[in-house]
Amino acid sequence: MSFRPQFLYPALEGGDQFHYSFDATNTPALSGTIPTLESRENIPLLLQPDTEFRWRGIKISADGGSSLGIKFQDPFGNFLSDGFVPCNCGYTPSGLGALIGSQPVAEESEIICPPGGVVWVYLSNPTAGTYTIDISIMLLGVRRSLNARCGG
Amino acid sequence: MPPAGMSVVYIPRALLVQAVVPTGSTQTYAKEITGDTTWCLRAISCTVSTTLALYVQIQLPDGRYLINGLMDVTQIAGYGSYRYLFSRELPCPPGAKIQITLDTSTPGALEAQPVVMLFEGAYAYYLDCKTGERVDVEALASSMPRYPGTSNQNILAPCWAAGEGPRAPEGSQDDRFIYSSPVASFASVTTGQLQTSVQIQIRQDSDFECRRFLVDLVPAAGITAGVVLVRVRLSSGYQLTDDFIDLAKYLGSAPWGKDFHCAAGDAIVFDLVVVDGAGAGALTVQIHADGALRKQVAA
Repeated sequence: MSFRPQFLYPALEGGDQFHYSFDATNTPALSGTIPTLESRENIPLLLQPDTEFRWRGIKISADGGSSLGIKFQDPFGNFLSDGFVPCNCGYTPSGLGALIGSQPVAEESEIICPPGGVVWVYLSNPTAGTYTIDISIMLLGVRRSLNARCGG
Repeated sequence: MPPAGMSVVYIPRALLVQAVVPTGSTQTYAKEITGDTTWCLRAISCTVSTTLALYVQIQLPDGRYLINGLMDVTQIAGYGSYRYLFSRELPCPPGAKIQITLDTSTPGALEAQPVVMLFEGAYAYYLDCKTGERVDVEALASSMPRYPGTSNQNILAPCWAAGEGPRAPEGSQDDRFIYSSPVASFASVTTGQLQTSVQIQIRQDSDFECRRFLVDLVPAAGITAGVVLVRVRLSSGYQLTDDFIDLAKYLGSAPWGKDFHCAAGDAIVFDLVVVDGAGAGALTVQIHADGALRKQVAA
């Protein structure tokens, strides 16, 4: 039998390829420093209010990798982990020596985020010194647009 | 998926975008889709260095944006197995454009930033399953009505403009007709009589479904300013306007969505008044009511 790749998700009718990118340039809470052994909590990643977003993958990029721990909370209040997960282990795929040329980490099953929903991020610094936040967060997925005609 | 009865042959084709973006700048590049058939966008490959300081936003040919804002290009950079793949190919007709915005000011680049991006996809050639001949789907699609279910392809025109409804009720017949009021004349716009009324008498043998008013306002050459206000009512008591409105600006109109019903024997009364007049000379006003005479006919 020839190799057949496993596709996590079938092509979605009425869905548009889309991804969110959050970093220090558009999310001020992703800038600055975190003192040693402390955390920065409730960082909002605001989703657009026009359509639902089917969140299917995460990619955390950092030049040379990041020592931060991270925890996600979906728009419904569910935490995706019960504690802080090292960025390099949980959400940065293997092979990331630099921050380019790597795949996202798939979310299985997808999380259907409502229009205008907020994904919350929590960061922790497990190192012995003050740490400058150095990550960019990418949420990959599909925006679900309706196929209904305007005006009914 | 091709339409029923057709198969599709894909011919791979990629579009290359290369740029060196100066420091402190935001530049937008538009890549037009050329060719003789629809091109399907499937992936983006990009090669950059780890020290690249460049942000990107991509607007797809259908007008939607791929990203929620400007994004560090290294987040989607990659090629081969690591290229940025689309969940579903995006059909792009010939002439459509992909718009790429590249920005060095956001990351604070200290020198010009180079980038190479390859938009990968394939031309889709549709073939008839029976004959094996190529089907021009763009021509087929362009021959379809834009608005199914109606022969009137102008959505701003009322349906009756194309001979479709609103239909006369059963037992009635509508005939297009235009009533004209007498000409109202103001000898001066500054002095003397500045108010008057004119009316359109509706015939006794048929109702009138008024669908719009046409206004003919003729000032003398010496008149330099002035506004004619109007209040419209039926002699039976119904008021179309509850106060005076600017005749020239608002009364003359495109056809209304709903008829203004005037019963047989009624009259449309136009109360006119001139305000803010200046200059010399006479001013005349005539108003036309465009609609349909509705009469009862034998079943």
